[in-house]
Amino acid sequence: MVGEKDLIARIKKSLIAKAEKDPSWTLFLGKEQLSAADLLKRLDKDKALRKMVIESSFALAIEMWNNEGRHKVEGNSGST
Amino acid sequence: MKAILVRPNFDSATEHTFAFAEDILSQCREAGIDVVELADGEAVKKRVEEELKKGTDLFIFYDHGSEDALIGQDEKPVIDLSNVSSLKDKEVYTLACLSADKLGAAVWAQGGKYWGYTEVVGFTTDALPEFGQAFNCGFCYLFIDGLEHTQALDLAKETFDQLALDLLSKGNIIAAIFMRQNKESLVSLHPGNEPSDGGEGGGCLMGLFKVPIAVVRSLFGRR
Repeated sequence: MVGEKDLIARIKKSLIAKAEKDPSWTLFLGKEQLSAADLLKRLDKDKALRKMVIESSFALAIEMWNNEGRHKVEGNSGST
Repeated sequence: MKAILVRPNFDSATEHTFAFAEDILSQCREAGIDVVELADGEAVKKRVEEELKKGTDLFIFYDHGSEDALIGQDEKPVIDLSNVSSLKDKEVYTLACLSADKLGAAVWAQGGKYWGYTEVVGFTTDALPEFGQAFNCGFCYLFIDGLEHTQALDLAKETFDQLALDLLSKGNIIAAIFMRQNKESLVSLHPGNEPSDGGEGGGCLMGLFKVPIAVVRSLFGRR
């Protein structure tokens, strides 16, 4: 199993790569404007944000998994 | 159909949402909706109340909000609980943080319909076209395609889901996360779908599931 720390580490790595490629990358969160560096700090400090990111990541994983499964089923049923 | 579109533009976030609303304006004009635009300095309470008094069917608002207010160009409410009665029996379509909570409930209680978000809305600059599409799709389903609110909401949530998966497949992980989070907080309050007390949010199936490592690695270990 992937732990929450591993997941956050993966997301941070992706964010750092994103910022290197596009230094102007910004997250607008309501009235807040966060650079990649700001978001990296927030992920350490803001427990609610961290929790939301973790839950959404796992939920996205399940949705992608379901989506791939659905495409496979549809693909198989279309081939007969 | 008569509509009022309010779109302030006073900070970096509103610059983007102002642009998202441009598509709504075009859709209104193409569909023959008689739309009054209150943009920039016109997006203030006085002008909004003046136009609402003239009568409208649909009130559209794009930008900052709070639980009980939609915020105008002067960073003061254009609509809050003190003048929410001006939206009695109206259709309200918003892109604004949090406002579907108390303000949406107040509109609903007066016979109106409210499309909006119960949480803070997030979007990223690496996926502006996708976020624009997501924020605007409900408008198209409701007022161009003429779908019922329940059906439009289902379709809109499917659109958010598909866009989130597309973003994920491009490696835009943070954008995908916020696309999904926005979907979770999107609500349509209308007869037959009353406001909840906030018990729904979170999408937290994860306490029940443990996701196999291969699935998560495949998502977050992209080359």
